[in-house]
Amino acid sequence: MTETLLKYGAFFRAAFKQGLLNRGMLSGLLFFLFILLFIYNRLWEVIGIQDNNSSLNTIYIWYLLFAEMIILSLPKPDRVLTDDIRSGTMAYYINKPISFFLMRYAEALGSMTVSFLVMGGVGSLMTLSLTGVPPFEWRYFPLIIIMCWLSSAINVLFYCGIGLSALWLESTRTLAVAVERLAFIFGGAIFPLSIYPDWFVDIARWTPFYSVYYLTIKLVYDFSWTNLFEAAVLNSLWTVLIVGFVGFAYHHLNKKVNIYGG
Amino acid sequence: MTDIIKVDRLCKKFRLKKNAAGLKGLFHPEYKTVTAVDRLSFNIKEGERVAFIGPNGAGKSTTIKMLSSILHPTSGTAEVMGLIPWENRRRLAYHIGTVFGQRSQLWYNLPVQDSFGLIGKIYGLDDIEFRRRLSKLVRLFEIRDLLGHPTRSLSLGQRMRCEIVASLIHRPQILFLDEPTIGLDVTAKEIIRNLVKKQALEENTTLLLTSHDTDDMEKVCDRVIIINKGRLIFDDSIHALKESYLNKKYIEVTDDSGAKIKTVVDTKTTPVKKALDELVQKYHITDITVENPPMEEIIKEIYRRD
Repeated sequence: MTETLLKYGAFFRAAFKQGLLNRGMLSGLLFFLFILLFIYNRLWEVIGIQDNNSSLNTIYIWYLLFAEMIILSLPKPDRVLTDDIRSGTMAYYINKPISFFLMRYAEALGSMTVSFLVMGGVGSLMTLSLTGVPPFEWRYFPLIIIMCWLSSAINVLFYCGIGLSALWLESTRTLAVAVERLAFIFGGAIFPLSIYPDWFVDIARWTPFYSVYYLTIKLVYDFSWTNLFEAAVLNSLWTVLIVGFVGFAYHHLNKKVNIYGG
Repeated sequence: MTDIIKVDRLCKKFRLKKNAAGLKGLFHPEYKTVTAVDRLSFNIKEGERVAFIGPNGAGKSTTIKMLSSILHPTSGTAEVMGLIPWENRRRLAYHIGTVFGQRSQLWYNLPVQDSFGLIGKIYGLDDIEFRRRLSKLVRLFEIRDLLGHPTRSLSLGQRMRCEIVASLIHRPQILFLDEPTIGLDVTAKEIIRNLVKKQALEENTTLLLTSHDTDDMEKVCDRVIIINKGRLIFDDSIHALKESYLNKKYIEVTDDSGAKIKTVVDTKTTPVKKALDELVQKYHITDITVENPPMEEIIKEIYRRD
């Protein structure tokens, strides 16, 4: 177990280190994040004035920050895995004492964590300067961060699963774009689902994006142990489902590579 | 010495889809079967350096892929260190190293040293053991100056030296080298050949090297297996091959008018030096090339004598 952790931990660390060196990408992400926070802050300020509610922008801009930390930190592992499958690279790892999928997942987690932490740190300073102190109590902050990081990890796993579907699909990019759009709509990536009509929320509940994005990020402005528990349970259920699919696809892929090679 | 690799009637067939135009191809695809390796049998002893030679498409890489557990055979059996490769991948992985000339096992954007570190972790080496091993290989393959450079910035020759080091970090008893000199210039090829041989002799590593360059086998190996269309057509010592089939040299000279003069010398009757002396006296030479017979010629000759 320790050896396994050390093995995949090394890939996580290498990708993390590599991500830190990629200053251009990080600067781009932060610039985009700032523009997004700035524009939506102005929007919520105007709505808040009309509704006579001065805390609207504080609530929703902190919500937006955590949503973007999950969405923008995703390092596109679907593309990497699709390339590995299409080019046959995967076959050349089959005779090494490592799971190729877990290796790529650990690398993607490392890249994701760099962006997540940098956006969390710098983004929090930006949000503080734009809207003031966050709507949650500071003692819950570590729990919220951990929950959001775990959601990002599920998100990475989900996109790794999309990458593995290159086994059956001509273009995994189309599927990834479709999923991105659905996550955007049903996950409440810009606006919390609480402002949408009930029928819409009822549909969203059946998608993984409802818990992985919305329920988790909602803890930012509506933290309670019940909400935390609900998010944790639903995320765990979706994780089991995604792991099941990924396990099936990877097993099938190994079998195919086993016979046909690279 | 015991047999470390045993191959018995190994066979690999690929089923390929024929591209039929229109709807017919969509609903009733036709397939053709290509035999890449055809009932191949041979044994290799511990510490032997064997060249696996043949023209393009002969089945060299497919055989290496089966022996290194990447591919499953269609029929036949093989044992590598007493293990059936495709059934014991994980266990075998710790005993074999592989280098595929056209693929990299190093991480493209990472400094070479970091790639080596990751490979050390893959094989579960502890830090002290890893450092000691790497230090030895770095000295042997003269790559100290390359360690801090990312793989993407290395020349092909430099990269190949690093690839071979990467495949030796876990101290494998068998090293499979698939076209390690492909695309390299003459100097880089010579360096790789010398280093591979030096390492194999020093650590008694069993080598199986594929190439379609006959110089690779002459410089590195002591035994040669030639295959063509998946079948074994020659299996003997390099000395025997040289005696029987590599006794000709192809000489091409260019004179000062730019004309090219080609000649074939039988080294059994005429030493190369004598042939060159004659050419130098006869022409104002500006360039000389001396080559072994191409692989295709050797194969033709083997078939002709059979």
